[in-house]
Amino acid sequence: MLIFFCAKYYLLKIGSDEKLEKNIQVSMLCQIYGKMLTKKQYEFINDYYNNDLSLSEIAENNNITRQAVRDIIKKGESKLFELEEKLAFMERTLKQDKQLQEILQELSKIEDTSSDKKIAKILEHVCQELSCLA
Amino acid sequence: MVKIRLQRQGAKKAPFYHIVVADSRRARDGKIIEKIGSYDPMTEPSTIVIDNEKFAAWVKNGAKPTDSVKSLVERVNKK
Repeated sequence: MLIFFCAKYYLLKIGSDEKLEKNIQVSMLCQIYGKMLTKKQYEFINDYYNNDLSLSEIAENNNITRQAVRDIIKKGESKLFELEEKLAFMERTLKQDKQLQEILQELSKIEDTSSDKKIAKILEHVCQELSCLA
Repeated sequence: MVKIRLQRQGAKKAPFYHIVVADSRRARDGKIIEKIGSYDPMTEPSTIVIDNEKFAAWVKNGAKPTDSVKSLVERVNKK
């Protein structure tokens, strides 16, 4: 755990807590599978998780009850988790990103140690192409 | 009412949040009054940057932080 004290900024590096972790997960799922939700489900989940609006605020904006908003969000959430369970797209892309970063690190190590200019140029090109995918 | 909330930024697979002060009625159009910090959950461990002086000043003036912002600030103050 790292804590940096600047003049007036407090920068803190810590592990994320459960509720926020869930919020981030839903937010990412919504970006991936958002098109599979109904318009209302997408709008409410976007407002709740990405714009950090409260249930009451969403209810007020849409002239419906807070309970109705909660029900729509819960339904949308379970649909997102169900889709992820079946398709595992988020899990796969996160895994791919991690692997890509590892490959890039390995390639830069080889690039640093390689004395052949032609190989270094090819590696540089491969690194650039892979960086675009990351 | 003025609220202190998280505002999502960043790419599809890389969420990043700004901690902003905004009018509660204008939350959806992205108009903010002031940015007072950021939260990056994708780093290991996650990174929180917050201007505590500004946060305290806004709260003193009646701004209401959301639960997520409250929990972030609590985590900063605990350390």
